[in-house]
Amino acid sequence: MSDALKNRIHEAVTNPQLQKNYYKATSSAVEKNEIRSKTPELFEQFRTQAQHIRKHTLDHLETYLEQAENKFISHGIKVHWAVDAKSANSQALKILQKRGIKSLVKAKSMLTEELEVNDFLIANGIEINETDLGEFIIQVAGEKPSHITAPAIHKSAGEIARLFEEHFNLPYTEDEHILTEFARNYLREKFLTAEVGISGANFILADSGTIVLVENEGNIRLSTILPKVHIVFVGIEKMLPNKESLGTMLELLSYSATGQKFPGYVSLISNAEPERELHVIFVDNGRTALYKDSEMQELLHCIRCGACLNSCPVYQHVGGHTYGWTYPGPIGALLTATMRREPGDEQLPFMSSLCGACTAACPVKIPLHHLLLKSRHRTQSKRIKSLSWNLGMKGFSFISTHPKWYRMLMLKARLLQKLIPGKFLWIPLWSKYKKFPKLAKKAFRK
Amino acid sequence: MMNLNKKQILNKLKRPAKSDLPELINFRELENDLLDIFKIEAERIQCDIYKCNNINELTSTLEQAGVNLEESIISESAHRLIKNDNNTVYSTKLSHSELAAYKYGITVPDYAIAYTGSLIEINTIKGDRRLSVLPEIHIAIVFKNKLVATLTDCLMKMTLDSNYTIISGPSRTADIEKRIVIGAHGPKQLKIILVGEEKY
Repeated sequence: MSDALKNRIHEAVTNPQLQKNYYKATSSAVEKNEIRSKTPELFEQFRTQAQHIRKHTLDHLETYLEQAENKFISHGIKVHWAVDAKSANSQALKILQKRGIKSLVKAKSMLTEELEVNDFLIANGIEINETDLGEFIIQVAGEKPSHITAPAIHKSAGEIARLFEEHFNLPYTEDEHILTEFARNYLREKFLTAEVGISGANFILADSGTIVLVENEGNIRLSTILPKVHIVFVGIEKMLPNKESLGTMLELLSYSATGQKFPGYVSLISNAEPERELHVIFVDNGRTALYKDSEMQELLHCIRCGACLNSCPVYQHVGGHTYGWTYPGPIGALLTATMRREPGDEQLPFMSSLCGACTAACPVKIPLHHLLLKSRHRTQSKRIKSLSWNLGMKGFSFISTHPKWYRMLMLKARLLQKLIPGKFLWIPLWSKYKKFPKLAKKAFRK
Repeated sequence: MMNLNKKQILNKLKRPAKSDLPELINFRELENDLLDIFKIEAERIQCDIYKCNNINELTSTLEQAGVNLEESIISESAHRLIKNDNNTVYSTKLSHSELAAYKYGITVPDYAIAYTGSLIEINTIKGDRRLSVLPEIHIAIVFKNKLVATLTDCLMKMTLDSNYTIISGPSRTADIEKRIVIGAHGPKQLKIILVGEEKY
């Protein structure tokens, strides 16, 4: 594991405020998913159906993309294609420059984080106003999102209060109602005067050419209804075949992301209204490469719900920023290792105990922990050469398969424990964070 | 330039083995009265519910709900229902700021979903999508015959030629320490008037 990653992990796990924040953020998420906790068989049926929908859609992706494009064009929606971030960002900039636009409002979109759209547009003189409360907070703080659906979840109310006090002279208050009201009033003016709104898309329906946008705050509706121009960034993998598949996908997305039965607002946009412009930018940025990867192509089924993050004990302790890229948690580790593939990215799948909680939580049944292991295999093309490792593993497998030797060893260990205190027992890296446990006086079977 | 991108992308999406779309099962079946279920579900997501028997009682029920018609901007479909001489402004003529100044936005949803307590608004060309999102309080007049059991039932009837909005409760957020705040950027309250009349 690289030093940079080790340092990020160390910083996260030794920060008590951060540990508290993440514990709060993730601890209730699994129980809140009522369809999973109260009706597990039904959840299973839903997941299987969703898995098949996504598999089918990806199998026929080319057809569905073309179908959607044709529908969009016939309804007055302009379609653009971008192989990478550079292409996507410059096409968006062209749309803005053509109309002489200098500022815009933005709805939350993980794809735009991945493409670094904000940095690019700001460097070209465009003012960006993030409108999702979490994104607004981290924009003010100058940070990146730490979660797929709740970008500011790494911050405590106190930290946010201090932030607003420093930047806006708002009297210090940890009352989330007052903080939210402030953001509402501050952004109202931006909504009412913005000429362009940028959003992502949760899904694109192929047969009707429909952009599906899901939210709770209302900022997406305001960003996409009020401005004269609406630009949609969407990954090519976000397709669904038809509106009939929407029932299953929306309910699963809602439960898995926030534990809600249904999202607060769902916008189904199929038309560009008169005197308004609607642009859709289909983005590749590494997705076609993943498409050809027979082991990893299931990663494209992801609907970005964040359930795997919420259920992951590693994410809970290291937090989103440790992963080093846009997407954290199990899905993030895999996407970073297989799609971005910068030096060091292949280490991320090793930051896991392979407990499988993510796989159990995934609404579209991506076998996440199996893929984490497969990703690890790719870095271990040769046998491990370390002598101590090989000897140690041989010893361990012998002891574990020969009960008499195991019992003898444990007896000796118990005697030894009386002579040598625990603190002298030391395992590299592990002992930095944990105390060696005491062996029980009597064996469990006695 | 754009077409080159498109060709490059689509050429990489060839796949030999193709699975069929499964027959989609709607897992939800509702047994009780749709109106009762709708009321329970809508209240669960912080809607305020008011009932009246027919459209003649509408104005008095709006009063009961604390709605001041002088501070209300009313949709075209709602105009036919609410006998009010004061307010004949058609919202589409208003700028964003002018419309945002109204306290109440009154609309008549095209469907209501019992299972989730949701409203569906079909935004035709003449319609105004701002009415249910800009004013501070959204008033929705739901007729009994517009009730459908689940979203899937509703999707069967919809053609998605126009723009649709599915509304479930007032706006909310939990971005600060996962503490729920009702009233984010959209309406802070959603008041639903249930009209028992069969036809509209």
